[in-house]
Amino acid sequence: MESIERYDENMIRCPRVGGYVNFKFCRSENNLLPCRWVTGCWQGKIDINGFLKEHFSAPELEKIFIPPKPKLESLVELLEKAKGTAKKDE
Amino acid sequence: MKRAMYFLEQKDMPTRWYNIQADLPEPLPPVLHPATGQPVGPDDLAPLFPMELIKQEVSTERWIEIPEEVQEIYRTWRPTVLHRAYRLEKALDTPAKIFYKYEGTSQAGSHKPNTAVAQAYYNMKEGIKRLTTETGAGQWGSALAMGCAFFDVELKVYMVRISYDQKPYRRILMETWGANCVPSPSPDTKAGREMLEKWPDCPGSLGLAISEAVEDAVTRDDTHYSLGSVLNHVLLHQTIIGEETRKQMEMADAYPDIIVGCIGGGSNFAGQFLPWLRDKISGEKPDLRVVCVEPESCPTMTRGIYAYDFGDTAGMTPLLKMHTLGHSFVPPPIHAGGLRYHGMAPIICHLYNLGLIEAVAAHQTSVFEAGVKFARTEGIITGPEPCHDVKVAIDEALKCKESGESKTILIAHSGHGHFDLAAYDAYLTGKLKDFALPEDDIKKAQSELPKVPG
Repeated sequence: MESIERYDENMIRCPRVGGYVNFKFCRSENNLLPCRWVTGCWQGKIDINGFLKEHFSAPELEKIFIPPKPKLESLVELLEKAKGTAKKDE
Repeated sequence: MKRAMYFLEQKDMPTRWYNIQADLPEPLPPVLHPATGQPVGPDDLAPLFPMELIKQEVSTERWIEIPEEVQEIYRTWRPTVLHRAYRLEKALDTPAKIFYKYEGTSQAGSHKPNTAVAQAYYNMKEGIKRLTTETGAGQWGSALAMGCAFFDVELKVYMVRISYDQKPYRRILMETWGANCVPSPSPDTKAGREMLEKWPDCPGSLGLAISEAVEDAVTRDDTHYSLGSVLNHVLLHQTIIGEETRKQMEMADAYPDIIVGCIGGGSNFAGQFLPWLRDKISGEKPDLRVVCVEPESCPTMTRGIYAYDFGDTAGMTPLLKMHTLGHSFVPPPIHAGGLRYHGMAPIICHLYNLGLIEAVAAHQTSVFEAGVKFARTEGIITGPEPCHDVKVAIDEALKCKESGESKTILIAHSGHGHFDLAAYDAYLTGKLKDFALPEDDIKKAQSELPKVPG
């Protein structure tokens, strides 16, 4: 198995954050898993599909490609989560 | 003398926002809670938003008065100018008449302050002293910082750390307007601390920044959260754009045959076209065309379907009826970041489903080609997203050249691209690539859509 860090210094412009990022960011920005857009962004630049299969399990891959949630729903979900956190802290 | 700009007197600035929900032939499908299948109600949202905004979110009143205090702030940059693009018309050698309503003259450089100011105001009126939000490159964060400055509301912006480090200018804008802008992950929230423990040098992500902003708002009584796109009340506040344009087009003795705009969160374009669409709904202007432009690489409307879609594979998030390409769709990269939503504003999806608006897709290199042509004829460096509008306006104008028709085309131009010059540089140096999604990929993604419960 090749190192997971082998592409880390490659740079690309990330349209989500609006600036240049390295591959290390792309492979870890999704709660330490790759960004869900990683295949599209890196397609043709590195063997991105091979990289993903090599370093991530099937459940992890499934988790990676969860689509972005509609805003209102994700807010309700985050709200409930934050309320739960606050209660625990009390 | 040919008149190239149409100014509206400040005393003639519209004093009401237009609410399309009053005129929809069918009401907007409700947002459903995943656990109960019941509509999400005001109580679900009260910890995040002031009640007046929650009411606006579900209101079916046709007109909503713009508070005088908000109008007063609007008048620091509004009404914005309607331009006639004579030089672009000449370059295209078209008989079409091209107009564009330009929102880039706001202090923040885009349409975003139209809702930022209103949201800051309503929060202030309900006694909220502090707002939180997240921002990627900083466009929304800077607009809200300005809005909060006008109403003495404190603002904390969680900015994705990699942008915070690499793109200082928008951060400086925010700080100049008085906001507290911190890199996300931050040590200020549980979500941030947990991530910093796992990875001290974490460059952040938009998802984490949202989590931090929401957690911050929920855990303090004096704090609410603010969002700059997608939601109904955000689109409502943007209708000042279209209401102004209606008056200005009248000054020009013109009525649009075609209105074009880019769609993402949908707020700028909706702000322009919703006030015109009521003429089509009423039957007064049945032939009016409203054309939404989306990237060919992420064809949510042009090649998507209309369905309820789960937000996660476990099906635990609420359901929202919207155009979607299904769970597994992973779009390729484009430079107009705001257009990459999996779904978009529910109102826009609903209107599309009703056949009241249409959608086309454009390749990103052709989009920047249009942006460069616009810059070299009209002088404005257009943001990557409104470049999509310009591209389709040019296409329609060229069709007029072929047919000999003199149609009137109106562009909803959301702002300048002065902070997006790297994207232009990528185009000018040949680094941009076009992607078209294979039909098989789309069919596979759509086949994985869940069924609607109940």
